[in-house]
Amino acid sequence: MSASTAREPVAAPAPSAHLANRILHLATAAAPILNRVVLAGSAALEMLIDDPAVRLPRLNFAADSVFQLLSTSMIDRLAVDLQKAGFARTSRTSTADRWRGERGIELDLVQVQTDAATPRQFCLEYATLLTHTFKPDAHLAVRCAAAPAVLALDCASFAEKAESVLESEEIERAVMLIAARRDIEAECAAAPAELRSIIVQSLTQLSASDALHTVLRRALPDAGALPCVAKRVRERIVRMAC
Amino acid sequence: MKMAKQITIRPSDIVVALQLAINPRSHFQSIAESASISAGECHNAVRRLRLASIILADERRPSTDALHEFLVHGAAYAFPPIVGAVLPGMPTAHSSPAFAAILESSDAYVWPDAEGSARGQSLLPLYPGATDLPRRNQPLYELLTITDALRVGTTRIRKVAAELLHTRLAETNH
Repeated sequence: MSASTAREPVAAPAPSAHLANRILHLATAAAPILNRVVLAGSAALEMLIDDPAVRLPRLNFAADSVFQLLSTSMIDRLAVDLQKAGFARTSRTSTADRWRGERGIELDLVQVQTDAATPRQFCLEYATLLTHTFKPDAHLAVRCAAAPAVLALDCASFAEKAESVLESEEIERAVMLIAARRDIEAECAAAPAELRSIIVQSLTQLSASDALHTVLRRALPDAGALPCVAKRVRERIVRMAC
Repeated sequence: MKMAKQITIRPSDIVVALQLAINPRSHFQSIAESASISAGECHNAVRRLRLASIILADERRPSTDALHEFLVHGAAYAFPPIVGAVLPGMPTAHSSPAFAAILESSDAYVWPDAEGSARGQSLLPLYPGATDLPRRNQPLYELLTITDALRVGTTRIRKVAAELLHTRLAETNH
């Protein structure tokens, strides 16, 4: 390979110091239940961003300070351990219990049904099965939902809400993940058929939409100044939709 | 036969509409002073805004629903954002004080200004006098930055901005 075409492999960046620190606090506070939960939501998505060439909007919404933890274990059993660890339940909905611990750490504990009946439940179940491990320190390990599961969850929510692609936060997150996760195509190709089908369905709708260009410009700050960025992501979406 | 000319809303008309939403009793001279727009421009803006039904006929009060609808669904297309280099300036869009309680952004947008309080991606303001607003007219400044968030923001930011605009306009609905 000539010097001009040689490309140095780019090391996958670690999560931002801010995120790594937040996860360390979470893992320390919720250590007794760590082996029975999987991190999902916006923190899990941020963990998957590994392409340093892609710039995404760096925004910390107050709402995102709440961690989302999935579990197939009975929530009531986890609740006992959370209470022992100093957490208190602050609210309860049909889908999640919100807990607040020391240092203001808040988490949503989501009960995942193992007899999934809807695409979203399928995705939640796979999110607890397809995981990667992040070690915030030598003694703690946090399981995080893997890219195909996170992508499929957003795609399932988009399909469920039946919003237009221009109005959908989920499709925007999906575009960000597709743009900024280098191996997303290969990972999705190797994912279980149910997940692939959910992803393909939404991406087919997105790639067929004449608003795709607008979605890309909104999701990727560099897409306006660098049309090749939008082109590359659009081509990736089209390939993944096949 | 001479064809009538199609009237279009100008970027500075939005500033006048927002100022009238804040204070519908404002005289042209006071709008001109607080928003750094000439009184003549204000007069013409009100005429165009009336034609568009954004300002109510026979009144100088905007229809907050119509104004909200236009800004949320039309501003990004009628006034496409012109984004430039990283420069010092006045924070706008989601990096402005209007969003401080909702999100923290390390990607700032600014109206370029040598005396600005922040540094970020420059965004051409809707009118040249905008950079004076933080010092002269804080409520109008915040409404204009919310409008910018609707122009440059992601879907999530646009939803937050639409809600924020609705709340602010409802508060000013006299």
